[in-house]
Amino acid sequence: MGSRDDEYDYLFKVVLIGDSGVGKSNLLSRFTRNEFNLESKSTIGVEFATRSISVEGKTVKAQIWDTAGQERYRAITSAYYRGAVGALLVYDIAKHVTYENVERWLKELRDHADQNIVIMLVGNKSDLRHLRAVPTDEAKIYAERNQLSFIETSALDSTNVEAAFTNILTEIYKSVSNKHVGSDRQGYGGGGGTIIPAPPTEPPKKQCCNS
Amino acid sequence: MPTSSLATSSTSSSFSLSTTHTVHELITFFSCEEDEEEDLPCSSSFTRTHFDKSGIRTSKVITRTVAISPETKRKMMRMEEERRERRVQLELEKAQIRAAQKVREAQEVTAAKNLRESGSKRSLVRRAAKRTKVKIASILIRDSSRDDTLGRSKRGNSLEWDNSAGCSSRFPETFSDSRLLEMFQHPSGMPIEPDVMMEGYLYKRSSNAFKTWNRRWFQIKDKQLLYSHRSSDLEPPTVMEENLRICLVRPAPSNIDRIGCFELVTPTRIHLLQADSESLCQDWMRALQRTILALHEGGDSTDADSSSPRNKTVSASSNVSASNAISPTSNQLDITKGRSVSDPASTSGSTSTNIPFMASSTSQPSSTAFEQIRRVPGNEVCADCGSPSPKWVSINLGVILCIECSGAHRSLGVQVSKVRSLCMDSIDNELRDVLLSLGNRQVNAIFLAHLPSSPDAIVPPPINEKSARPAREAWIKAKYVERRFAVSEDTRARSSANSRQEHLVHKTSVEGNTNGVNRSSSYANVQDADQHSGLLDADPWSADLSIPVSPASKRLSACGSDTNLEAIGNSIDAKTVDWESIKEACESGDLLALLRAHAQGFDLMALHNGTTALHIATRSGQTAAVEFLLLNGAKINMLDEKLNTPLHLAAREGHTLQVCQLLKRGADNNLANVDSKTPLDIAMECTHADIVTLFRVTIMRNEFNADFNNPMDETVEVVISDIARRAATEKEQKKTASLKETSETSQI
Repeated sequence: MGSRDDEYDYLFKVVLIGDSGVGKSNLLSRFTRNEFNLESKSTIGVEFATRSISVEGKTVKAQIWDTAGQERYRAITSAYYRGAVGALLVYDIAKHVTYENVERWLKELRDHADQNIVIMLVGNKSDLRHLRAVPTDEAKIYAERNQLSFIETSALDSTNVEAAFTNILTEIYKSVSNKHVGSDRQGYGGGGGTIIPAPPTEPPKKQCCNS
Repeated sequence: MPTSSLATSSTSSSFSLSTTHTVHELITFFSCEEDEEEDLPCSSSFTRTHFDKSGIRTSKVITRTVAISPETKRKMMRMEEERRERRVQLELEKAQIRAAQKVREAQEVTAAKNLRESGSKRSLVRRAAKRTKVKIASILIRDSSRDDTLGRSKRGNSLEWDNSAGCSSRFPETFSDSRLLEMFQHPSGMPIEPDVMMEGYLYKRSSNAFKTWNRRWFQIKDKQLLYSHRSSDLEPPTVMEENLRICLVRPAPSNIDRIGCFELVTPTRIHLLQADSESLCQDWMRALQRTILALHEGGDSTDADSSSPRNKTVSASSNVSASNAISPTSNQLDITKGRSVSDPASTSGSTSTNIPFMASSTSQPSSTAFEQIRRVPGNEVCADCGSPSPKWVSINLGVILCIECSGAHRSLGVQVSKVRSLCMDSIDNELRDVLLSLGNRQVNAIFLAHLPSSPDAIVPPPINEKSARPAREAWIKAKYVERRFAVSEDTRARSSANSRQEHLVHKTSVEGNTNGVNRSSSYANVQDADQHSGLLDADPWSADLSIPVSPASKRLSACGSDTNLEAIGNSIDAKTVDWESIKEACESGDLLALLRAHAQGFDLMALHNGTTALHIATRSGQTAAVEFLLLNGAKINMLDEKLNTPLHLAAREGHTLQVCQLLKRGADNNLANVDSKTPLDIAMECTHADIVTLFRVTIMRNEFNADFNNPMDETVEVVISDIARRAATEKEQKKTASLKETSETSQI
């Protein structure tokens, strides 16, 4: 964070989705603030956090949107997915029903998100080994079949949290930078919401009206 | 489909000039969606269908007339020529089409064996449409007879045609100046949308990093470009461009390696769109260009068509009313509160532009704000001088003005009158609601309530459309700054005795209240101090008659002048007297009552009983009242006695619309109240997910604030408009539900 956080080459919007109580908000707080709260309350509406990481020498700023898993606390749907280039679809490895609902969340993504969105299936709470209800292999196979990336994490003990976000951001970066090769003008259409591949010479920051 | 290449090549024919006497040739194009694949190129095919007039009549002809000013005439002529060339082409193409039609028919017959030769082309079309869920749009743009060579015979046709549609009576006499765009809806089961100029599928390139191309159903409707997903029935269409007037259409740059692309350039961004073929692309560009052109004429569009006939017939009468400013007043006094939407036909020669909007005028928000506002009683002429077709508006006073009077209004400063263009500035829903609840007639009824009955006694003299600038300024200043005619001399004199007594009773409470007033209304004080001096100049009596109940004295009081302690006392007295009614007006959203109080000098911005009018209006969910107060000087972050901003109250009450409104107007969501809670804290406590979201998105945007081109602006806008739209629908539903309930209970 801090001032370095203000300078970035790419800004990616990533959404967290999945059933209520699977640990989306704690994944977010672990990744962005290195915090974990065992007694966190239900998310109401939408929360945000950002963090910048470096991918292949470029600064990628992830703007992560976290929404309520609980239907009654959800506010926006189409706007939530609008402009999102990545989605972490989270389930709880100790609650099979949250895994079963992955299908439903995928459908929601198909309905509302960009068709090229990078999706990563995240089995959270991997620290609860003794309570595991979803075998890793099963989820892995499912992910492959649906062309999703897959990872198991634990926001509680920090396992793989960093990796999950880094992987998806790298994947997005690759996807986006490929798209841009030979496609057409960069920065076309300006602040189209989220992703501003800043022209390398003048990052958006510098154009402030201070001058 | 094998026919597609043939068909698309002849797409241009959808813009044809075609009316023959008995048979209208209608070129229809189909956009068929065959399956779920987004990127599958769709097949377009053409069918030429013959409709006779009665057929047309039943298939809902929507006619739109846009009048063209002389300058654009030349452009139009050029287009006309092009089009004539194309007609020649068309003849060739028709042959092709016929061939294509045959092929298609053959296919149809084989595909559906039951369909016999005897089945008419139309039934074929209908069947095809049903089977493949075809959305069919056809556009026929008919250039009416501007061109002399084509003119004469066609004019006759056009009129006949229009007669058959039942609209002829509304066409301007200067028919040769008008261009007709006609749109036909087809038996595909699509809802009839009268304002749609052109519609069809386009690919749009998404604005996210992937630059994905998505196929969407686009519509040019009013001045907007809308698009919707396949499942458009469920979701309202997304507005791609709110106001095409400020957009530009041009072919896509050559580095785009897709065919049929064009750009819609807006002040903030560039939309890249792709049509299914080059010729369709041309058609879309042309349709957009025409729309933009028409909108530029826009102000004129309404004016031009109303002015030309008016010059001959109506202007006489409007001159009469304008030259005699009393007549509007006397008419206006009998206006009741309930605002009725005036019949466009009755508004002195206002012409055909209104036709498409008539059906939707009352319930649907689809007609433009401009059109709706123009239909408010009195708004057909300038509120001050009476000249026809005013295009400017004072948004805080709620009056529609001509350009000269708007200039005089501007000269008063924004604290008195905030002038906007009805055509060029965007009018959002909140502002629209304000303008719809006010309007020239009713506002004049307030500001001219006590116009002396004999014209000679009116000083300065009322103005008309020919008045010179100084006369306008004098009149407008007297009317709105000094509010000379908002208050009756008689009333003042009569009430003075009573009020003096009352004033004595209340005098004790003066001091405490004064503090309150001064604390919150320093801004208003400055304003009113000016008005005060103006008043004294203009009205030598007011100083002598210190009459608390009369508005004049209230005005005095509001100035907060230290020297006039008595006046302050009076004013406070008057405030305590009137406060209840103000409170009621805020709760019920009675803008006229608020404006009346404001015109009579009541300080709407002051703190009363620990709260302000803005707080009450917000708490009561009165969008228009909130907007009105903000426009008339209320501070958006005003505090009540518990240090709550209006945003705190809106968050507590769960008034999502008010939160959207206040945020849009730049309310600070970071202020803590006496319990050191921010609006966000309150919304969290009350678990208002929408409101929490609104606050969080705004906070997130502020984190990016250093950017001169904030990447979050659009996101925030979308979220706010998304949530606001849903909240508005819910509110509407609740309202109708409660209405139903009350009607049911009343029946019992």
